[in-house]
Amino acid sequence: MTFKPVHINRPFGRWIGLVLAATALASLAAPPAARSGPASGASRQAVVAVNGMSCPFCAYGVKKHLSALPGVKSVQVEMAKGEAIVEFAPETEVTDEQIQRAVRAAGFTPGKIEWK
Amino acid sequence: MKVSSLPGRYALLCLSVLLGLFLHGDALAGPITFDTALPVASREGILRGQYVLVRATGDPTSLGRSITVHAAPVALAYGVTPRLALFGIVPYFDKSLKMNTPSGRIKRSASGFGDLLFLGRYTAYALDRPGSTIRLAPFAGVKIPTGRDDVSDGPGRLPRPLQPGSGSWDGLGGVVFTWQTLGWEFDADAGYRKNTAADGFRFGDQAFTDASFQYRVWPRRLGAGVPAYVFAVAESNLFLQGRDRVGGVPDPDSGGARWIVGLGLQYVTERFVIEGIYQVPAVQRLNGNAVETDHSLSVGVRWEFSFLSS
Repeated sequence: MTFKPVHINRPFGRWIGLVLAATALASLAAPPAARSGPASGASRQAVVAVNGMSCPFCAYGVKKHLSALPGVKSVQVEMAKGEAIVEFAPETEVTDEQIQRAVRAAGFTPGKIEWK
Repeated sequence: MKVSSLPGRYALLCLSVLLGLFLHGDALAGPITFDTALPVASREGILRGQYVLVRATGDPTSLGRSITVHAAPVALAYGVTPRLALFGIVPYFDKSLKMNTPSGRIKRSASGFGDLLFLGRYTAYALDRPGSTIRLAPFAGVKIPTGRDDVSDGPGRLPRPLQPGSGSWDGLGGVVFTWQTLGWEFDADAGYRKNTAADGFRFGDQAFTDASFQYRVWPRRLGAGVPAYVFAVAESNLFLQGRDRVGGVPDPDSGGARWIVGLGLQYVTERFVIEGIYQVPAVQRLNGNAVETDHSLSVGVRWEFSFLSS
């Protein structure tokens, strides 16, 4: 039994290459907040707006609940800005929903989540 | 004045003190002398310890009664869910009464753990915005007669209000409102306490309303991270109490109205709060010959901890 080599004609191969490149570009250009961000490579940060958090004693619960999420390396609260900055280890699978649930468990209302 | 009528004469004082202690804020920051509607995060706890001193020497009679109450309530709050918090509070009391008698000035005193109070509070409404929150939370509780109410000394069994415990099962309910921003906080509550009879004695029911305003005096500008705050605190507590009943008969020297105002300071960090308040009565319209309060002082600490592993 013999195998014949498969030949892809050149114009068709060029089209495939263009489509793949466009897909890759589109995925990079997608808004990070809309993704449920699997971290890849370097560690990633989620900047989480915590509505209602307005005194130092409130920040502890927010920190503890966010720290309990999988793959969290650190949590920093910026009281004046009303936000928490959560740093995740590389390759961590965490969704926006999980982050929102953690903020609610601390007794507050989650706002916008930005992935960096 | 007969010694037997003494219970009613300072029942209002003791109950006012007790109620103030029992309603002390067990949650986040908040007022010093009553509760707040701010949340206790789920699976987290807050432990609070206080020392309270109350002095009352305003006796309109020749008995020259002087009452001193040292109290050390310990409270534990636990967040069952982000909206439902449970509180358990037990005070330790040292109460003493000095008064003139035909045989000279005598002192009667008792000390020990008081009654255990369980409270539940549910956040019915929350409006969270960046840097501010508005909340409304009803609360209800029951006081269990765990403290001793049969302490005796030379002259016999001590009057009921001088006992560490009340001997009765009592119910408590109300609602608390909080509006907190990055720079200030306002809290107010109103409630009612229904007392029951035990051994022929019943403390008068009590209605109360409290208000507190806390203003951040330091730091003037918020820096990065979670800076510690210093709050200047002004509080008001109004108590209206019915007459006690001894053997079913109203005690004419018990009950009345008391409006207490106070100024204090709070040092609030991420893990703990240190606080103190000095209070004086602004108005005391007490029935009969009840002893008027001079002043009270309260200092305390709150510590927040978590059952979450991180």
